[in-house]
Amino acid sequence: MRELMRYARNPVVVLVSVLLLALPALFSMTGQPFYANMLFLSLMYGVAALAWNLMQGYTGMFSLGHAAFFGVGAYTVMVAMLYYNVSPWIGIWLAGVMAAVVGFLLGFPLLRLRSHWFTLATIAVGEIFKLAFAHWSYVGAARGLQAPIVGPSKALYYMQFTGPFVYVYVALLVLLVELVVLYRVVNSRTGYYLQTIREDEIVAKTLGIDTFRYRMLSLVISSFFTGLAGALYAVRFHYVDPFAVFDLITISTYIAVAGIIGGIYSFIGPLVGAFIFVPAAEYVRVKIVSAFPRVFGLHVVVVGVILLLISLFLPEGVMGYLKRKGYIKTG
Amino acid sequence: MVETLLRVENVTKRFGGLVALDNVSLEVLRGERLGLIGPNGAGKTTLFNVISGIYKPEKGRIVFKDVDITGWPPHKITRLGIARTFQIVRPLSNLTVLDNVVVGALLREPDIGRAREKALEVLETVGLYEKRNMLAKDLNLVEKKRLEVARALATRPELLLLDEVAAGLRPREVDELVETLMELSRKGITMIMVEHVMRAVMNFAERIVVLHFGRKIAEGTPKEVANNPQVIEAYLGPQD
Repeated sequence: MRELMRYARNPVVVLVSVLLLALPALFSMTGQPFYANMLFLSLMYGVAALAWNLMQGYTGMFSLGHAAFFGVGAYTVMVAMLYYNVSPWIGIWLAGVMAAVVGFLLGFPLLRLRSHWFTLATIAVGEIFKLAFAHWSYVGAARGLQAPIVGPSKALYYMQFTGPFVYVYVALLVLLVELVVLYRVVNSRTGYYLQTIREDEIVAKTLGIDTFRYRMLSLVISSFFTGLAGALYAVRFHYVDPFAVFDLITISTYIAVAGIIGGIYSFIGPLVGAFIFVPAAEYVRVKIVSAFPRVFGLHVVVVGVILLLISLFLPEGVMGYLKRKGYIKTG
Repeated sequence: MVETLLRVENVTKRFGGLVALDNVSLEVLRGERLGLIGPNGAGKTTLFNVISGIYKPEKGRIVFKDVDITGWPPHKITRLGIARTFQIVRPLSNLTVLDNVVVGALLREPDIGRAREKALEVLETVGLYEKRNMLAKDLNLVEKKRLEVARALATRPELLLLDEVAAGLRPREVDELVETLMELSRKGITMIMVEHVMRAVMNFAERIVVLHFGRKIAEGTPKEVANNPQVIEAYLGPQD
């Protein structure tokens, strides 16, 4: 906790926090919902990318299947609300728990695999979830689930607000919880153990580390917070469908790309990466892709180009680069 | 009455058709310094891998502190008190030298602050204190060998398996290392040293076991072993 306080005294951190808190209000006043939405998406992907990086950066498990946890989180909010009348304020946290349970169960087959075999299996898992949900009538099959529009008296209970601004603050709240938890995890014995596993699993074992247990812990915590990110998606858009929330490119890959751009050997890197990549991708989607409606898949090309540039000029990510150049010491 | 700390009983380990360990038995007393020698491919490292749980033997038992640990996973064996170094060094490359040792210390001391203090003590013992803030990958080979020892020591083992820690060292460095290990031995840590550097093992070990093609061919004091005709033949070929 003392470490966390020291972090809180860092002027850059304070400045960024204040800006984040003030921005939605600013956008709201100047009538720029496009940018407020961009902010929301950056936060949502940031939450997921930080969670993803507990596995990638700290434990050395490269997942391209985080859409499974994201999607389960999104669906949990909707199912809880539509079928059990649970407010999304509670549904968000249920989403984390449900995603964590899914992560735990998937861990038994997945954790038998390592390196690229692990990655391939995570891709398969994401795709299997997409297809399974697309054929599961309880969750609306391919049509997905839509929240009904409620009157003003119930808007707070069902988390239905006009425009993106309130959702930005909800995302900030989730992010804050995540930062506190993850910061404590990575600076504890668990954090040391995860990094030891990343560096050399055999050595980890001979130092007394139950590597299966700690890899499982990494997966469960990661899927919990990725589920929260998916829940943010559901409350923001009031609508989930399998092809959106389980998408290999715009969910699984975007999360990984945000993490890689920001720097996987950095605590805060994936969040920074999300704030660089998501606005860029959004800008491309809204301003450029819509200008060329007949060029199918243009946004994927743009993502590819951004990744190519990063791997050429900033292979260690933005935060890694800043650290190497000595502009920042920790983070 | 001296207690038997480790008993290897009739252990056989095969890799396909190759018999790496053929019915090997040996005992180590608490506090003892045992040398384990033999030509390349004799099965020394395989024996370490079997004792530390990396490999499971096809036949035989490993008994440590009167507990049958045959087939146990490595982390449980370490927790019971056996630590090892690796012949081909395996530093946690992207962690600092200090953090490499902290990870070991965390086994018995979950508090990071106290684990760090403990790790600094160990680094002092092996002479790496000055390098504590370097990344482990930036150490030279001699230092990486020392780091192997430090990391293993930090788990506070009762039995330490040293796999060729003197390889590649200059004679003076070998003597320094042996001195360090003797000091640890005086503190009560039991050690098995696999070594090709005779200067190290002859000065260090109280007793030596010789393996050849996976079989134990001799056992005795360093002097006895050095004069054993079978050992000489194993190393140099048949003598007339």
